[in-house]
Amino acid sequence: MTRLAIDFGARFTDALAWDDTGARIVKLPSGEPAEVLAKALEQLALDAAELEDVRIVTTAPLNALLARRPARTALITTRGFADTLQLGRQNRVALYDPVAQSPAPRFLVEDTAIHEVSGRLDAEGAEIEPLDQEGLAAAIAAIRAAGAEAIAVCLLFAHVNSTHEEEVAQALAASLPGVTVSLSHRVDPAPREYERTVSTLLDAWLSATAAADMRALSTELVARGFSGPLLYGDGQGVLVPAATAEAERARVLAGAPAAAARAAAALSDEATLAVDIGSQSADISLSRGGEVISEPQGSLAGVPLRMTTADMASVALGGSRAVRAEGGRLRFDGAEGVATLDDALCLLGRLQEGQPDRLATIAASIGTTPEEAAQRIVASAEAEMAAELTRFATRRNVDPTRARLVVMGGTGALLAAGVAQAKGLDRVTLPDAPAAAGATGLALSTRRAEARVAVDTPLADLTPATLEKLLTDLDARLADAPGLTVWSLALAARRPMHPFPLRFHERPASGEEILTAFAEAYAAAYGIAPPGPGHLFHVIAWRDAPRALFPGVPSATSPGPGAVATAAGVVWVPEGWRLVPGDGDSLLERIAS
Amino acid sequence: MSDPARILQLRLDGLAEVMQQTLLRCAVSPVVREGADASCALFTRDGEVLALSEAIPLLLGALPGTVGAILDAYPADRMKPGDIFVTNDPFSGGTHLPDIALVQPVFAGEQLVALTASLLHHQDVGGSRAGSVPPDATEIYHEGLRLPPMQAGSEGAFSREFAGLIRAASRAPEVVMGDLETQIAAGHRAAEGVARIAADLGTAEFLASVAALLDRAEAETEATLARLPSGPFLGADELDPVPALGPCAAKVAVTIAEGRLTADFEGSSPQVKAPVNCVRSGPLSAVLYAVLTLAGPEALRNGGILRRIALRLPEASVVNASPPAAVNARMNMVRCITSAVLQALAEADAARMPAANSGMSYVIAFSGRDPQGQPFLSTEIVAGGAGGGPYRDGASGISTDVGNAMNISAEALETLVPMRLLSAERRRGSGGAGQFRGGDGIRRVYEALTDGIAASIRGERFARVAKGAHGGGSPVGSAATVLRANGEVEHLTARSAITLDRGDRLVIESSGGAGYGQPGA
Repeated sequence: MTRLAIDFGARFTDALAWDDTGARIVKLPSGEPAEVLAKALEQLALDAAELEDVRIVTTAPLNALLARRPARTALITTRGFADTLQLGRQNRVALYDPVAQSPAPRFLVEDTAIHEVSGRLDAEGAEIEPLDQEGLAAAIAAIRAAGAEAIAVCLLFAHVNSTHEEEVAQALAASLPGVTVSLSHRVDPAPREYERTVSTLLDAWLSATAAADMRALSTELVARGFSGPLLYGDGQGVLVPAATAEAERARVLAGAPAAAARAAAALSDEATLAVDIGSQSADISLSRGGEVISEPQGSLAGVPLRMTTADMASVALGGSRAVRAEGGRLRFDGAEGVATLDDALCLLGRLQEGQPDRLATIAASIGTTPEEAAQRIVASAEAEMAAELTRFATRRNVDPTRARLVVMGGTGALLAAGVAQAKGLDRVTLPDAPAAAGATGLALSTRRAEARVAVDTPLADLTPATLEKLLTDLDARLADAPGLTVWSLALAARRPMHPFPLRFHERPASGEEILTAFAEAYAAAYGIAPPGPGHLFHVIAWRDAPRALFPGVPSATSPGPGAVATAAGVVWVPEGWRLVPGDGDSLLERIAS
Repeated sequence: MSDPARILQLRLDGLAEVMQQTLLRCAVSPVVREGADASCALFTRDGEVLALSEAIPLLLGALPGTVGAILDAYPADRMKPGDIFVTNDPFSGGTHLPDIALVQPVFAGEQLVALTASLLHHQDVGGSRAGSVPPDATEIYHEGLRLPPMQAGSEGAFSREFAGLIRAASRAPEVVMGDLETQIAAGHRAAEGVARIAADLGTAEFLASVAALLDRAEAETEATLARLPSGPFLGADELDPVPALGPCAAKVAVTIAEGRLTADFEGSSPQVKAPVNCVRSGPLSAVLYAVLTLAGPEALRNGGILRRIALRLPEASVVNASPPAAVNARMNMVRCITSAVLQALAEADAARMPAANSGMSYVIAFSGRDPQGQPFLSTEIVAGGAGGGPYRDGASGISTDVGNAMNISAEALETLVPMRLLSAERRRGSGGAGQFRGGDGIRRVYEALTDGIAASIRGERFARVAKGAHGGGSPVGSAATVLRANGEVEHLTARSAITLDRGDRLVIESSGGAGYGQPGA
């Protein structure tokens, strides 16, 4: 049976089809996802009805997020708290920049589309003031008048008691049918209103930005007779069903870079620093023991994101990025229509397609020839990438000169040797299809079934019988999924403290057993005992299906120098370097003199 | 980036940040967990800064002095692995008594290679009022337990005597001990990382590289300063006047000569009998912050920079108080000093500097007993607005210059104290007018849910507000008002200690930032 993985990129879409005997890749120009899907099926001569499964990631929402693209969203919030998003946490982006700037992602909703409604719960979830129905009706009327594609609802203490949010949802469903509603207690049921507002707005923003494409893909596949599972790559580099991706939209936001990170992680058990440089962004990740490192909290593209996701940094640098000279430096955030990194790569003979004549303007502005300007642009990109890799690694206590370096992506394959050189390295690894790392990563990902239950109980109050029932019920929800159950508990020393994830491969039998394991993990992480008796917030159980067989694609056959074609993408091998094929990857190394 | 020195600096910065994140994730007290009121750094064996966390500049400036004082009392060559040293003495480099600095040696094999240091605002260290920031203190003896540089433990654990002392002195012993443990944990994580780097490089090479890093930062700072005109550039600012207290003014003359910046505070007011005085760490934080903004984002941030900074501080003044001055509410004096220094620098480097920010932030503490009789205490910091310009409007409600504290959410506050936050809004129209408007301040309205809640409010810019730049306007000043349940209205002064009963409302309004350029230009 054949499987299909598709990575919808900003400029190109990679489709990878494989069965037990071999794999084929096609690269298509991006466009309407459903149309691109149809073309991919055609070019790969596949019958959708025959496919075992289809796996998808798309970078469009992430690129829209990086571009701070507005969407037609609205927010309903508690009276007195319309400015929660704007005021953020009162901190600033860069400590020593004399011009203080807030990291709050205000583009997620227009100020005029934020509506307050009276009604209040207390910290325990008890109703202090009922929801103001007239005020709600007025807010809905205003939203209707202005028009909105998606509405976020984030009321104070909804994570403790969701009744008011449910009431708002009912009113919205009655008045504005067809408009997607994101409820904070479902999207991110955790305290602190700024963070929950951002999560909920992000979900609404994604609904307005990406949901139509997801539905169109699903419809197209069904129309072509596909009846297998449609899976999305999530931000941790695992596959989840389309229903999960539609219910937890932020979860698949980082799916494309996480899939590429998975492709790099699969190459080695060593500590690996990987970067996937595409047309719009460069995504950095870290792996150890063949697994992508994930973090329970973080941010993506500068937007705070409160969910477990691959620990990645997304840098605004890529082949299609326009170049701008500022002071003595070249930056990759110029206006559309001016010279791009690709134009420079084209002039230098590394890339076939490009408009090198556009380099004349920037060359003139920095007082040099187009050739010299192209060299400086490429060298700047390589140096900036090397600096970002170093910054990423050092922030995670990883020595950037010792970790194995993997460079991927269509643009990455053209810069790999230069990035390595700028980092002071003589070698860099590229996967066999470097320009289709996302699709390859999807092929190497496992499918996850997951169930979650909120507990919010002190460990001391958790009796073995309660725990037994809780975990049995949770496990029963995974009964149909293959694989062994893994338990992930969110714990803290005391309730108001930040959650700490603790994983069990065997079901814990008692609160004491959990506390002992928590104390051990806490001591391993911080060297001290937890400062409190322990509190359990929630439990997530999951099962990962065994990974489907992936035979890989053929390695490149030429050692270079020059442009070396691979199964997907061209590797630029500079003079004095050579490409050595390995198992699933190739090593680009400096030839010893 | 094949610059091994820069990579080493970034790795050390990364470890300082690992310390910081450990404090924020593991801290028990809400002002650290929610407000991020803590700072971390790595030091050389000689007590020079090796790396700073991205934290609160106000606190970062206190670490060099405290580490120096500890090294004076406990020479580095006698330190043993697992030793723990502490001090909170403002007159030994610290800030105010709640900020306890904790220093631990880092060994690579047998050899001491570095020190870790953290400073954390503890919930209570005794004194006349809960929270240890009594607004009516006139001497440091009113402010709580004063710990001179002392050894607090060995082999990675506090001594019984030290733990006993803290437990006896604090109103919240469990919270304070938990947070002190967190400081040990933070140092522990960084020490592992430093030891690994030292092992990778070899100890001798590590020490040589570190020395070279500091020399390079010094040379870079010298070059940065050499590009600026020599001055002198003058700056002055003062706290709102308080009857019978006398002026609290910071005056500074900044001169730049031979790649060295000298900040002379001659002419600043004598210290006063109120807790608004600050000690040497205040002007040091202000000047270090200012030099780091001049140095730009690529600078190596270590003690090499401090070698090019000289402070001249009048003794027994509001900018350099002597014992037994009270200092617990020193923050707004430090803001004042920073505003004066930034004014001076705006003359030296006009193109990069915005108009003055609000120059203040509130520190507000609520304490008492809840209806079940359990004690509660929560401290929060409320920022003002950023100054406008030089190329955009100022941000609203944002920590500026030496401040960097985060706000406390309604959902955290209401879980901690019997108060309800009725609104948290941008205080519209409070920023100064201008081609680039000053950012607005913040307006927060609280309601007491029980009787007898003690509220300590320390603000500033009630009377005197920042001036606009290049024709821009001044912001609206701060204000604090109590709306009693019986309808009475009380207008509070900048530093107030009040009691709120059930149904009383407290309205806190912070000043905006100043405007930049003529409005409509």
